[in-house]
Amino acid sequence: MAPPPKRGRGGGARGLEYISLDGLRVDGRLHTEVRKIRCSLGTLSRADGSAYYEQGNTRVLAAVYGPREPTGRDFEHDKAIVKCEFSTAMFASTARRRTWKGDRKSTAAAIVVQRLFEGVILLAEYPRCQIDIYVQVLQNDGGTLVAAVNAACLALINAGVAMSDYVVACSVGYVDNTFVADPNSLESGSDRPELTLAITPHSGKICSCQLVSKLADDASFESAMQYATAGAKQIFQVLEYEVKKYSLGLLDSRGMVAL
Amino acid sequence: MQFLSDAECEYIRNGAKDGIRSDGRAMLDIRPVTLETTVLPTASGSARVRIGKVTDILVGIKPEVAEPSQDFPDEGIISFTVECSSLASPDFVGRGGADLSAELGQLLTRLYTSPVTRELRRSLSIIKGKKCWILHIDALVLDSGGNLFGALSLAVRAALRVVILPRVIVIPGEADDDDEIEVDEEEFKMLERSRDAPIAVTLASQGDRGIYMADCTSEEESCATASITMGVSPLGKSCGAVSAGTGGIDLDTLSSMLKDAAQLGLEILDATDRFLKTDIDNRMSGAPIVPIGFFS
Repeated sequence: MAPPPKRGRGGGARGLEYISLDGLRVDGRLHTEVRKIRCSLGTLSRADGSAYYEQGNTRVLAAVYGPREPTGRDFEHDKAIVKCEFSTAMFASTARRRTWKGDRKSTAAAIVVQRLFEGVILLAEYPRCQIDIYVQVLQNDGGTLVAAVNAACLALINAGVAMSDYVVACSVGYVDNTFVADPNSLESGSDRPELTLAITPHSGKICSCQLVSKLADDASFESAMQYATAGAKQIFQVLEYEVKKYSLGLLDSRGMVAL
Repeated sequence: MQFLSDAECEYIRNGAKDGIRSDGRAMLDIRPVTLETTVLPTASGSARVRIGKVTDILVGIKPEVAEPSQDFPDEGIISFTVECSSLASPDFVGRGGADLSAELGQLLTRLYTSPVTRELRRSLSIIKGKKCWILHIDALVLDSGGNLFGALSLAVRAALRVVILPRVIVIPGEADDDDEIEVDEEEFKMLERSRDAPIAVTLASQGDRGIYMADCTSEEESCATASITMGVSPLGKSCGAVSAGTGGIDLDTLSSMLKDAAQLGLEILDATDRFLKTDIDNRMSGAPIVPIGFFS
């Protein structure tokens, strides 16, 4: 009889070691560390607000049009309505897959983004208006929803839409019996639990919490939430820094501050 | 498309009569073009083209081994999909951009089925009648500010120039067996004859005889009475021309437009090829490439 295949400390189901003996993940991160984030505001010319957001190898662009006159028949007389569209480029993943704007996953993501921002935008400021949020995924290496939320937040700030707070999302994966913040496509799979959390960092409230698959018990749920909140706070620091840098740049260009 | 008032159109047309455009260009001047290659790690070849910081196109190429079509057994296949992202305009939401996407895809297909690209398509053949490369060229319109098709054709050509295909070894079959192929994932080659690939130049006529302009902004496009789009290949050949618009173009103007389009096309090709040569050389030699645009 052949001996069972040798495994490292935490050989995964696919025979892949997700966490090395040194406690480092496949891309060299610690389990609490989020991927490298880069972002910029005002990347597109025609949109009222836009942002480019990169989290590791996941890259998204978000655009905001509005507040503007409603294009469809539905509007609210005392507040604005928010519409969202989420689409993925065909070259976004290694395997070319024909995705289109209206498929189930895209629609689900769009609804999440829409609901989140309906909660933080001061809708009553813009009666009978429509605010459109469009998210385009250019590259997908896991965590596209997280990237979409963060990019949309930056684009709304760029558009000057009144919001009560930022919305920052972060996800947590579970590999080799360990929680990992911000899993990439290798670490997240349909067979493993993944928690995606969105918080408003100033008030510390949880706006959205999605759990795929299941966690063992309440205690592990609690700790997953802690990982996600900590990850979101890391991301928030980057976003806030970037927004301040952009705003100072604007003030500087008008000669209102000396940098 | 943008809607302009009559007064705005009048302003553009009167300016055109005197050879003046609102951004200070001469009639056949093009806006500054930003070209960046190999921007997507998930594609075998990719390029991003921006014209005047307004029009923004991202193109990715993914190759696949397939069977050639029965009509052209010794040629590979180049297939185009264009997607107009809602980022470019709220009009593209849902199925809104589908018509424009289909039109642009069809124009690209026409450009690449012309005889000037026959050698390029032949170089994609692996075993005649049995196996060939199919290049899935996916283009994404991120921002649109006029001359969409010109930018698109430029981005597609640049992506084709830098695309790399894995080396394929043909193993001759024994006796009655068919030949088999083995894809060598270690060694890559660039596409031969990708230099032949054409670009498109669009000239738009502004009502009066002999008045036409290159690289229109979206405002200029929406008040143009007619436009012609011509494919230009470095082989010095024009490959196909289409006209669009409600107005007509008289014969004298048309022939001078075609001449100018070919001339302009060759100038653009020359400039891009000079850039691409240094770009490819730099990448080959492993010199650090500084990304530009939002990828930087």
